[in-house]
Amino acid sequence: MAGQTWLVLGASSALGRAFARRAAREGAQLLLAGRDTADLADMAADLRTRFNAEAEVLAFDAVSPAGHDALALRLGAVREPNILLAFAVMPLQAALERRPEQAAAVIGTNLAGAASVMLRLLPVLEEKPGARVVVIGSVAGDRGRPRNYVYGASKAGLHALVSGYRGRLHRAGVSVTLVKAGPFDSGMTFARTDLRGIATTEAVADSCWRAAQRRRNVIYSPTRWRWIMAAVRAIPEPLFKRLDL
Amino acid sequence: MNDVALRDEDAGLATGQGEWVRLRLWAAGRHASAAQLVCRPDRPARVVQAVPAPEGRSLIARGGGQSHGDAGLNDGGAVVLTGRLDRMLSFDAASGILVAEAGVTLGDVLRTFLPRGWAPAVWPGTGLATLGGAIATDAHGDNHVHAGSFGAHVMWLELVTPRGTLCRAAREEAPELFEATLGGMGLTGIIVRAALRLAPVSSAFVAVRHQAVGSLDALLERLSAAAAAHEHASAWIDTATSGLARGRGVLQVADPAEAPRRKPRLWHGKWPGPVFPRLPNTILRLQGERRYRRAARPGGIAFRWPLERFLLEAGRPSAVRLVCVLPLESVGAATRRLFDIAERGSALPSATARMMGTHAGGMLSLARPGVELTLDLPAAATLPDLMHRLEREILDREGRVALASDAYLTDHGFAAMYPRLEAFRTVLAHIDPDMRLQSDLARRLRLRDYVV
Repeated sequence: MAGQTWLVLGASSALGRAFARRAAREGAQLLLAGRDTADLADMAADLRTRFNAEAEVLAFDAVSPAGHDALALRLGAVREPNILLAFAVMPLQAALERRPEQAAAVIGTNLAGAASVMLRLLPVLEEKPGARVVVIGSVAGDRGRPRNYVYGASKAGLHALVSGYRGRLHRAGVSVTLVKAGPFDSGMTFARTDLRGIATTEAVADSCWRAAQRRRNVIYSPTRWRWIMAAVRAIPEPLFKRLDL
Repeated sequence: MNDVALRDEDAGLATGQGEWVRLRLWAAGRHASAAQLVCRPDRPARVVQAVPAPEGRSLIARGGGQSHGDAGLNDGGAVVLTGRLDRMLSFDAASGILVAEAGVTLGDVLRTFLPRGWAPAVWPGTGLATLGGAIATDAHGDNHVHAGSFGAHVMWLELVTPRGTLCRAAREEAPELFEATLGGMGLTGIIVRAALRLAPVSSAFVAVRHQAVGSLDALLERLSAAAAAHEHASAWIDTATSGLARGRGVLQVADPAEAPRRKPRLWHGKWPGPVFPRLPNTILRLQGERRYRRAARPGGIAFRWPLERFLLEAGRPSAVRLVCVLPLESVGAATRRLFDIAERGSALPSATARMMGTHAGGMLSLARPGVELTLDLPAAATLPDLMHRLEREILDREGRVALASDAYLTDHGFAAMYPRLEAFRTVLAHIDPDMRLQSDLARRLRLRDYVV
């Protein structure tokens, strides 16, 4: 296990941070990619101080594909790279309905940005059998709900993207894991919940790590959301449209 | 504004109005609560953006929320949670100086550095307290005679001032601000980073001894001697017995020791005992009797524990906690009076005592030479009245009530207990002329009612 190298895309996010710590604890080397490089430098210092881990900061912006080439180049130099995709935006649905032009930005980041960087990294990954890719999806992508459907749509698209990507890379010996995350204690959910009875970021990061090590295809985290979403998906549409879930 | 927030990959925090959320927060004993706007910045730059608070509200920082009082509450105002400022930025293994963000918990520091032979020099009794919170309350532990208060080990700190600028304070650099911030209950600004000097630990184990002592005066005398001779010393006082035996107790001392040959038995973990607020007095009496008798065996109880377990072991938070320092001369008589008052108020307290040395770091630090007494009281209907009577008694004995756990102190009592209050107010008037920082505690104690 020691000696893995993880590229974390969106390393300033709560989950990105927690996952970086989880990986560093196992002796992994970290490449932290995100927009706020000053903050990532602090995070890299944290990994060095706590775990004596090697950490490097890379500038990355999902919505500016021009920078993705440099990322692919850097990853090409790593012998056995692993990737975590942990960036997303989730504005309130009400805010999107007031300003519809923002919906494009949500899909642009969560789906188009992810597609852009994943496709850019495809040729690199094909050369690296044994690599792991973990993509953070969402239970919101399993079925659109009035409360969160633009974000849900971007994640549903991402799920399809990951599914195809998994098949594409399967022959190359690269595993692609989709983690469908339920609500957990991150910056996204902070303003929407009262912090009680919500899964910790560390627990979700831990399940991401274990799923990657076991090369799982799709997991739900926290696990109970598998059954909750199975029930939600089973509700017939005529009834579902009347519910306020 | 919104577009910027949207393009931020982890938007949702402290970049605009939308990141503030209305939340009800509770004090540690769940006795006090307040509803306010809350945000949780995850990097220092976003703390700067959170000042000033929206809608012209007042603001206070809140760390681990371990205070029993209302120091981390701001009813109708705004609160910045520092829990996500949790990065450790550097550690110098030669000097033991750790630079970390303010939301790092002390338990986190302990677990990270104990395997490397370092630990916080001062341990405030809970691992959930944050670095920033320990500085803002100038916390202390059961080794105050040797190590002093928490602030003595802080080399420098960086805080976001009420004007929204990042400012660095140390003993040499802005010494007045530094002294005001130690124990300043968060009223000088929001601490975002600090350098803490850790203490080297010789062993990851401690040898703990419990020894029963039959009377209060003897117990306090033994405690005073033990505090000088041992690394950690504290005493549990049995308040439930009546008559001559009242005030007897168990003295606990602990020193670094070699690892035990056998696996340590961890069920000794009844210190300082969970407090069940609604337990009838009979059961408290029986519990006290059992604890006393076990420690009264010849030689007392001796066992070895991992240091981590010894430090992290904490009782369940009680409803109301009164922490006070009483001068050494009158401590015996004062303690008896406090127990009497509490009993007449039909609130049997659970009591522990620790020695306090001379060190006083900050302007509002609790520390003064004497005995620090912690009374854990059950929630009762007559509580405010009872607390005021206790306060008067402490005031008469020239004692001092700790702000960190306090929820009942009156403003005039507070002014009489803290002689450096005027100096503190002068610093506040200088750094926060618009009174942007407030907490329920500051309002109750009229901390901000100064004349410039």
